[in-house]
This record gives sequence, C-alpha cells and structure tokens, in this order.
Amino acid sequence: MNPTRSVIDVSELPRSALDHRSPIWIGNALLLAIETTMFAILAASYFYLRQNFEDWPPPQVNFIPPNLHPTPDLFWGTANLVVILAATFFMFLTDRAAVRFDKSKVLLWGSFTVVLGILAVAFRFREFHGTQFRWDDNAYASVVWGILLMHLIHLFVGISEDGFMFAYIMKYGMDDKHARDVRVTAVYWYWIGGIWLPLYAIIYFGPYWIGK
Amino acid sequence: MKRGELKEITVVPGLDANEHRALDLTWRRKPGLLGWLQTTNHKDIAIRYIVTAFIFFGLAGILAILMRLQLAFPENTFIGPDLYNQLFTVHGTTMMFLFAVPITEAFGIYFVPLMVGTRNVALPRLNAFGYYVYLAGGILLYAGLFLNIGPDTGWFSYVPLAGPQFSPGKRVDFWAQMITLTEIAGLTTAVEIIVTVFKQRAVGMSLNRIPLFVWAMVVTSFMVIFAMPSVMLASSYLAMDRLAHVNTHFFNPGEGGDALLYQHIFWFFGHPEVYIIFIPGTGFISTIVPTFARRRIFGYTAIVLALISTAFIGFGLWVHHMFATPVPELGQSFFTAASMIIAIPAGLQIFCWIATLWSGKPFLKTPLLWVGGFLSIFVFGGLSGIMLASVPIDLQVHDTFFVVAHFHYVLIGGMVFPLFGAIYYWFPKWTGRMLSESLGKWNFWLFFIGFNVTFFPMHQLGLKGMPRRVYTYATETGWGPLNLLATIGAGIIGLSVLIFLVNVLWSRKSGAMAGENPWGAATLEWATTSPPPSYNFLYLPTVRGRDALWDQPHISPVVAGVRSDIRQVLNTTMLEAAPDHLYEMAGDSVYPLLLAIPVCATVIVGIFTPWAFAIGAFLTFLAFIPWFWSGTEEAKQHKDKKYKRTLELEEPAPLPPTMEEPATK
Repeated sequence: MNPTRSVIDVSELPRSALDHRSPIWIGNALLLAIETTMFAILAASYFYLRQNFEDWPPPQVNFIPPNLHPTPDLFWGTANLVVILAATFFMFLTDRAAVRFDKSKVLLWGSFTVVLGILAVAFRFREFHGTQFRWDDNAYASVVWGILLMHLIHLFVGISEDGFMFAYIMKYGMDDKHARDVRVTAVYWYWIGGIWLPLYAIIYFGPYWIGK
Repeated sequence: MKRGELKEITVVPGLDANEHRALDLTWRRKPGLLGWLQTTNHKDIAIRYIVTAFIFFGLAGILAILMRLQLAFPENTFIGPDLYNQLFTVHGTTMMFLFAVPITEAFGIYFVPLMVGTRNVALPRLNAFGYYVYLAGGILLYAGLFLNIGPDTGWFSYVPLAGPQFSPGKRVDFWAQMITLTEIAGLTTAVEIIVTVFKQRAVGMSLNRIPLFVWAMVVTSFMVIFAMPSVMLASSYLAMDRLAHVNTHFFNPGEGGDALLYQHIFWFFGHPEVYIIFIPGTGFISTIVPTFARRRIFGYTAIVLALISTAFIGFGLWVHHMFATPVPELGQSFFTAASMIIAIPAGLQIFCWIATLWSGKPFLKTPLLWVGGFLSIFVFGGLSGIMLASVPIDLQVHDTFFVVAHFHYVLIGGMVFPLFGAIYYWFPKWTGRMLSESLGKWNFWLFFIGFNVTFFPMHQLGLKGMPRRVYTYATETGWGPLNLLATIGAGIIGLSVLIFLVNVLWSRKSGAMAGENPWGAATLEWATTSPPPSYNFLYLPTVRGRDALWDQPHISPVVAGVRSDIRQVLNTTMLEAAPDHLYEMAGDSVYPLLLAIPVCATVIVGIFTPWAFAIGAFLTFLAFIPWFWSGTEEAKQHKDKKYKRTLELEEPAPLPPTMEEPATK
C-alpha cells in the first residue's frame, strides 16, 4: 500500500488576473510611486527656489522691451492639458475593452490614445517655448523646464508602450497576458494624466498665486 | 471563488523523482557563458550581488587603511591632499552605495523568495537588469579613481564645492552618474521584493506570520522607493548644472539657485538611507536570535510596529544633518525631537531581542557572537547619536572626528556586525557546508577589538577638535598618539577580514557538511536542500504558524497542481495568503543585458555630452522592442502543438539521495 500525502490542489485556479491581484500591476504601481516621489521633489524645488527671487517668474530682460512678468503661455498649457486628459480618457475606454477581450475596440480606442499622445508631445514643445525662458536663463527656468521635460519623458514612454502592445495585439490577437498588459498600461496613463493636474496648476498658476 | 481543494493523494514510487526532473528542466539555467548572462534565477543574481558588493567592501577597506596610514603620524607625507580627498570620497561612496545597500538587498533577493516559499522573485528580468546597472556604476567610480580623476568632494558632494565653479573637470560627474546607476538598481530591487512578498507568499502565511527578516526587507524597500528618487534628482540637478551646453542653475546662487536646496534633497534621501542600511540589519538579528535562543521571538508584533514607525520617523529627521546651516529655531527643535524619538523603536527592538535571549536556552555559536557585538556597539553608537541630536553639542563637534566615530559605530555596529552574523548563519544554505567555528571566533574577536581600537579614540580626537577630511595635522596638536592607535586598530580589522576570507575559501571546499537545517531554525529556507535546487521547493509549502518549521511542518499539506513544465508560480492574496491564481513568470533571457548596455552607456557618455541622452533614449527604445515582443511559454505551447522546449534533449539532473527512481523509465 502506497503512503498518502495531503495536498492543496490548485490546478483549477485561474491562469491569470487582469487587475490589482496581478504581480505586474503592483510592480507598476510601485514604479509610479517612485515617479510620483520624483515629481513631488521637483515641485518642492520649485517652491524652495521661489525664496531667491523678488518676482516669480523673474523679469525676462533679454526681450526688447523686457517682459516684467513673463508668465508661461496659458493657452498652449491648457490646450495640452485637454489633449492629455483626452488621451487618458481614450485609454480608459481601451481598458474597458481589454476587460471584455474586445480586440477591435482595444485597437480603436488605443489608437486614439496614441494619436492624442503624439499631439501632446507636439504641444509640449509649444509649452517649452511658451515659458518665455531657456532652461539656462535662471533657476526658475531650470525647474520649470525640468518638470515639463520629466513629464514629456513619461508621454514618450506611454506612447511607445502603447505602440508596441497594440502592434502585438494586432498581429497575434489578445491573450491573457496582453489583456493584462493593456490594463496595466492604462493605469500608467491614468497616472500620466492625473499627475499632470497638480503640475499644470503649479506651472501655470504658480506665478499668479505666489508671483509677487 | 474556488481557492484550491484540500485532498489526499497517493504517493506512488517515483512521483517525487519525476517532479524533480521536470522542475529542474524548467528552472535551471542554460549551460555555458550565455546561460550565465541570461539567468534570471534570484539565487544566481543574489550571489553575484553579494560577491561584487564584497569586492567593493574590500576595495573601500583598502582605501580606509591607506587613509589611516597617512594619518598615523603628524605631518606625514605618504599620501598628498589630492589623492587623500579622492580616497575618503570613494571610501564613503563605496561603503554607502556599492556595499551596504546592495549587499543587504541581495540578501533579500536570495532569502525573501525562500522564506515566503516561492520559486523566484516577482519580475525576475528586472532583477537581472538591476545587477548589470549596479555593476556598471561601481566600475565607473573605480575607473575614475584608478585614472587619478576620482571624485574628491566627499560622499555627499556638497555644492558649491562640487559645482562647476569649484570642481572643474569630470571628477564629480563620475560620482553623480554612479549615483544614478546604483539607485536604478536599488529601486528595481525594492520593487521586486515588495511584489514578491505581497503576491507570492506560501499559502497560510498571512501578514501576521511573515518572518521578521521579510518584514524588514519590505519596510526597507518602501523606504528605498520614497528616498532614492530624491538623491537621483539631487545628483541629476548637479550633473545638469555641471554639463557644458546644459548649464542649468539649480544650485547657482548667481541665477537664483540655492546651495541649501542640494543639502535638503540630498539628506531627504541621506537620512532614510541610514535606516535603509540598518533595518535589514535588524532583520538579520531577528532571524538569528530566536534560532540560537531556541524559542520564539519575544514581541513579534512590537518589532514589526517598531520597524514601520522607524521608517516613518526616518523621513522626518534629515535636517539634523544641517544644524550648522540657518535652520529656523522651531525647525531645529522639531528635528531634535524627531531625532530623539527614533531611539524609541530602536530601543524597543533591542529589549525584545534581549528578552528573547534571556528567556531562551541560548547556544553560543559564531552568528550569536556577532549579535552580541552588534548589541554593544550599536547601543554605544546610538548614545552618541542622542548627543548629536542636541543642537549645541552638534555645533560644537560638527565636521569633527566625533561624527566620524559616531557614524562608524552605528553603521558598522548596526549593519556590518549583523551582516557577518548573517553570513555565518546562512553560509551553509548557500554552499551546503559550515564555516569553521574556530576561525569564526578569531574573525569576530579581532574585528570587535580592532573596531573599538580604531573608532573609540576618534570620539576623543573629535572633542579635541580634529576636523574630519584633513590629510594631515601638525605635531603640536597632540593628536598623534590617538591617531596611531586608530591606525593599529584598522590593521587589526584588516587582519580579521583576511581570516574571514580564508574561512570562506577553505570552508567552501572542506567545511563540515551542513544538511538541510543545521541550526534547527524555523523559517522556510531551511525546508529545502543546501544549496537549494533551481526551483527552490519540490512542492510549494504551506504554513500554519509564525515559525513555519516549528509549527508541525510534517502535517502541513503541500501545494499540488502548479505546472512544472513552465515557470508557473502560485499567487496568493495580499492579506491572508489564500490561493488566488496561477501565474507564468518570465524565463531566462538576454534582454535584460541588452537593455542594460544602452542605459549604462547613456548615463556614462552623458558625463561628456548632452547628445548622449537623445541617442541613448533611441537605443534604449530599440532594446525594449524584443523585450516587449515576446509572449509566454504557455501561449507558445498553445499555438504550436509541436513546440518543444529546447532543454528537453539534455541530460536530466541527478536525483537527490532521498528520492526513489520511478518504476518505469
């Protein structure tokens, strides 16, 4: 008679999880915590450097005539905020479609996100121009460019990730892994859009709130 | 939802042997150099980290001995001021960034998966990537030193000294980019450890049953996540301020920048860093003490809460490094209070360890000796820390050898002593052999005596006014005899470390055989062979108490139904660790290395030209393509029925002696 052994048979468990129960979801959330810390300290630098200036932003004296209160260009900043939020919204629709394994909707809404993302990158260059400073003019310009640039990097990464993923799904179809990847990338986009709200407020309204 | 089913199965002869062969085929690394470069096994990566970090420890130790030789006599001319500046900078930088943090994280990479009873860390490719980046950072720093253009502005590289005006050339940039690389590695490791602990714990290992070492690594990893971005930003600001054609003004007072901004963001990392180094040390102690006291740890819950509160308070004391700068009086009081409060959780843990030893039946082996060394030296360093938390005393001894003495007592006491204890404790698990006890005792006592002979006199030197970071001093100061004493002590420490190396090299081949659990310990890493097989556990274990192996392991069920032909692991729920879903892990791959190369090249070439970032970003993008463009083994098998694993043709691994051959081959 052979001996017996008591076991917990898990062979019937699901093969993947599409939500926060998945390791990659948590890993992504932790990476976003790292990036959030990064932006928090960038924002802290912005406010810390304020004490060294009479006016915030400092006068732009390289222009003729000098601009005494060169606030960042609100039009392009706000336009881009709308574009970024729209891209995030389409990523939300993509996310919903991924839950249903709806390949065509994922590709449809996803391509909206990619196109709007590329538009956001283009607008971001207008935003750099709209600061009315070069990064090496003064510490104010350095930190504002720093915030815009760091966020731009995330736009690039978000678009590239989407691009790879949608190309894969187009070629091979949606499997569990890629449905989950779409959902994780959607979280990334929520963060890209969400983090931009306070950062936009700081860059574009900071000069009015703590300007004088 | 169905959470898995408890049942009895019949153990037919050869069942275990077949399982072993299937798992080994799936999890072992491919042969040869290519296999070595591709491995994502947590044990392989951890051993690499540990060996590399120890080499850096040795190098930084040699630099320390060179400094001590220079300071042995007044007006000594052995080493000039320029080289001396490089020596103390590289010594401190190495010990903090290339030794202390990586080696403790490496212990986490090795033991967290084993202690929580799983087969590999979560996100194994990220783990492999992290090691290559860390290695590049270390090589970068020493390349600078060996070319005699090593950084020379101290391990915290304050501006304006480290700024473009007072440190022309590329010396400081080597430091700044080394920070970027090593912190990337530190952050990736922190993420993996947290995910592993949150999602891959053995069934039944609810939050209140997690081994204390694992708790320590989780708390440390969270601290890493919120502290290290800060230093990356500080060093990146610094590098951008210094880089020609970029020339930002973050720290340039002429254009509204601020030197104190650097100190704030550096120490917002730098103070938590102390606890990032110390908390894993407490994890080692909390693991060693109950094993050798032969009783359960006293005050488990209190220790966990102490770890968590240390992490929180640790973020609220950075300004005590800046008492010599214009800090508002209220701010000084706040940070003094916080600096004193943090002694409470540390003290609480110490009382718990003492209570465990007191009420147990301790048997004194080498690991416990190191615990004793830790307790005495760390408490002493903690007491001088309380003194330094007081602003008037701090101002008096600021930048003197008193501070040097203090932080060597807390860092060596709080981290190096527990680390040596941990190496003696876990060496049998790594190699299957015990370290020699008698050499271990020599190692310990020489280190303990040498340490005190080196660093105790520095308190006195500091009080007599000897500043740190001077390459020599006049005879009339009267600092000569104590400095000579400290140098003799450094020699004794050096001898002790040599004995340790001899012990390791000898015991690896000729030490006594260890068996699975030589110390009779309670945690799951002792429930598998020494060294563990590539897949860690033949059947994933379940636990029914805090001390898994002391709580009737022979009647705990094991997990069945996890596939052995692909790298599948069981994910459990975050709080109760109930079975949740199965998950296929990424396998071995060369992509982490292919990604690390452009990332490291970007950062290193970025020392010289900003174009590196544009080109490097593009190359990094290319390196990501194959990484993204891969599906799972399961999907491949599903698509192509004829798909065979490439390893299948190779010779199967020999069976462990405890297993029977299957009846039919």
